[in-house]
Amino acid sequence: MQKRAIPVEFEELKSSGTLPSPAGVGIKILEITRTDEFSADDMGQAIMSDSSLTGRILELANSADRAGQEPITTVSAAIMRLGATTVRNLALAFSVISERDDGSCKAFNYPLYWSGSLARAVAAKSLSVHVGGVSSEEAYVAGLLAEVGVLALATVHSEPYAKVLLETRGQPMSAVLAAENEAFDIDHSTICYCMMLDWGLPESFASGVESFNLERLSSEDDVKLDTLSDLLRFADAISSAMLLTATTPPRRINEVGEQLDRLQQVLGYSDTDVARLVGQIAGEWSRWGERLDISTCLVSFDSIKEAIRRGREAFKKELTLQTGGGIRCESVVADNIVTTEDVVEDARGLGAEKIKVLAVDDDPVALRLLVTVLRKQGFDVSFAKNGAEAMRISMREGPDLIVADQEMPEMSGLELTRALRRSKRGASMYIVLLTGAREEDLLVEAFESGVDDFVHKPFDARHLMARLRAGMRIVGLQRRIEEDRRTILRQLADKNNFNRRLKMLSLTDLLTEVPNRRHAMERIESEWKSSVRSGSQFAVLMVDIDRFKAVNDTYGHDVGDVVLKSTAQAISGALRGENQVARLGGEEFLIIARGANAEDAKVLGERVRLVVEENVVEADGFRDGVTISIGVASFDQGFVAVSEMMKAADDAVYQAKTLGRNQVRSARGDSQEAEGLVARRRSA
Amino acid sequence: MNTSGDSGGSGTHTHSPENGGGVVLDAEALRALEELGGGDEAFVGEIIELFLAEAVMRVHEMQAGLDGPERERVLQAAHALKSSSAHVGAIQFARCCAELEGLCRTGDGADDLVHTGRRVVAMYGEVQAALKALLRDS
Repeated sequence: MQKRAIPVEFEELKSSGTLPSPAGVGIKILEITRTDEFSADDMGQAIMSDSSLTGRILELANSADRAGQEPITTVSAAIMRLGATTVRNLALAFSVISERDDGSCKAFNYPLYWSGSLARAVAAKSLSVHVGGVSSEEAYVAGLLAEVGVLALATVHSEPYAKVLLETRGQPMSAVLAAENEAFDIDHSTICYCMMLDWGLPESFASGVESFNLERLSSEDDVKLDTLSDLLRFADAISSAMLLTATTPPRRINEVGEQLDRLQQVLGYSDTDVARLVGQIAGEWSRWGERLDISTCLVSFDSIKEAIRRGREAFKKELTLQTGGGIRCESVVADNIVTTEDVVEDARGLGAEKIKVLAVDDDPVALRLLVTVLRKQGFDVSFAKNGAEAMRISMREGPDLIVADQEMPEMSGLELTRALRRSKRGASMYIVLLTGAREEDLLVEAFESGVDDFVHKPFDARHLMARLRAGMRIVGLQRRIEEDRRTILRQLADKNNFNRRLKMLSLTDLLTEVPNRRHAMERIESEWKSSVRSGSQFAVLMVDIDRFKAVNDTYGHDVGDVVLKSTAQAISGALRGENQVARLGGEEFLIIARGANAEDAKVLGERVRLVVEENVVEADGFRDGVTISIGVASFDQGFVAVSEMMKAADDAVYQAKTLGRNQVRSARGDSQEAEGLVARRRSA
Repeated sequence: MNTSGDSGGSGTHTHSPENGGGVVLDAEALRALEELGGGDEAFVGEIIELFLAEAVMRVHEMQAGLDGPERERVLQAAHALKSSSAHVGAIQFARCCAELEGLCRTGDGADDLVHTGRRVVAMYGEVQAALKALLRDS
């Protein structure tokens, strides 16, 4: 499809500067990825600078439908597995969410919008396995942003759009689109398309979302699940079903019901299969809601089915009675329907883990009541009858929340708080103090001691729960921070590991896998310094493979390489302790022998020479031993600089070569005759 | 258990001659207690029994303390009784305990203290009777 021209109406909206948009890191990612040839590394860096964004992307990359693969723990791994473009789009989508706030359009239900978008995203992700060419992450992003055009209108034109929404309430989406065009010369479908292009999402993606927005109501004969648009339509049906409210018109409920029937038909699912699918989507929805701080509600497929059944009945009645407004029929559906107002802040939440609460009261009656109320709310409750016992349990079980009576003999709630705050574990617990009415004057002291909140005694369940909910929020945030911190640590470790490998590579000879010249030189410098400082011994043994050029010329470089590798391994195998071989280049190696004087070094050289001589190199058409000539120079021979010592070893190799190869010569101490010979040969 | 209705409610609205006709057990507070149990039939009864067992010892402590009078001893007992009695609906009694607790803290005249203390002890008899009646009726 040809990219359309962006209408001037959209440019006007954009120039208002209030369109929903990615924030912070999102903006940076937009900039980095403006062109097609963006650097995945730069983008990865930008994402990593935001740890919660990183956590969300990793969580999605590791979610259930990718089970069976190695878990992804770093952004770079996520980019590798999902592709840079997908990760980029995810990052943008998440950053749009994190920027959200409840706008001023009175007729627009912002929390419901985000709940619905998230539900659609999760549903689309689940259904994406049935659609070729749409990855689960793409489906997620598309689901999340599918109705961003509506949000845009509500944000930019809050008051006039409220009027449009109120006037078209209960009417089909086509009427809404028409009214939008009437009022703003542009509709949410077009805005959505333009925004996606503006954020650099592919045209195919934007147009898929656009067709969803335009066609979702006119697909009566369309029983297929082939395109992104189909996928979004069905995902939208599932998310709408999960968010039916008392004011959802029967007509809409009927539509949702029909879509679900079609979906069941397309997938060839039984009722049980559908129930399982919806259950799984609902579960993931609430987990993501937790993560992204978006409200979700507990839904069961049975209640959805019942709501739809009533809705459809009402719709039929509406049709036959021609009552028009349908207000009477709506009330039929209104009871026993899933509503967003019931959004449950579930105490059992925060992922799979139950929140641990410790109840502390010396009064057995109050304690029993406290424990009962807390257990009923789904907390994992332990209890203590006094401060000392509470302290012990706290240290052992690490509760997330503590509800403690202030007035207890021996150790008061305040004293308990102070003691807990001094410990590492107790520092992050959320502590609520139960106080009598007279203890108001404690307030300042208590807060200073680290108490988080107060509840008066005798408490009532509702009041206590309201306070604990605030505590749960804090506990949730703390857990999230802790998770993010772990993600960062993991990444840091990963980075360090990478750097270490890089460093090692830069100091290793790639062919023979022994240290390279650079490494050898660094090592000699440090050995030299340490010998100068402490008078310890060390020697260098220059090693050169005899007649290597002939091997190369006769058998080719491939065989030459094998000879080099094999010889390096043989030398390496002949060394012990801290002695090390490095390849200086060509067929030249260097052995650094710590603690060796001239004599030791010669003995070592002889051993190495023998090992190499006996080592049979096998390569393509080549099966033979090679020999080496070795020149030794040691610190105790009185050199004044490293360079002089190295040159002496080099000269000794020449000497060995001149004297017939396959032998060890020492720089100083071998016969003057030999020295003279070298001098004559060189000058010749 | 039905604490809110008028079916067998000899206990919930027992009038106390010593307190100007105030109720011994507050129906509202008892309803709240029932709510806390969330439909658990045995819950209210269990809490009341727990209270009665606990309160007997506290009242005994208080009596012993009043003989001195030992302010600290009376204070501890009054404080504990104030807290737990409020939960089982003995609001008037809880208020009396709070008053006594206040007297112990301010260190005002011993006469006042002993007088209020005796009143609390006497009042406990009524609370106990009302709660026991409630247990029987359920």
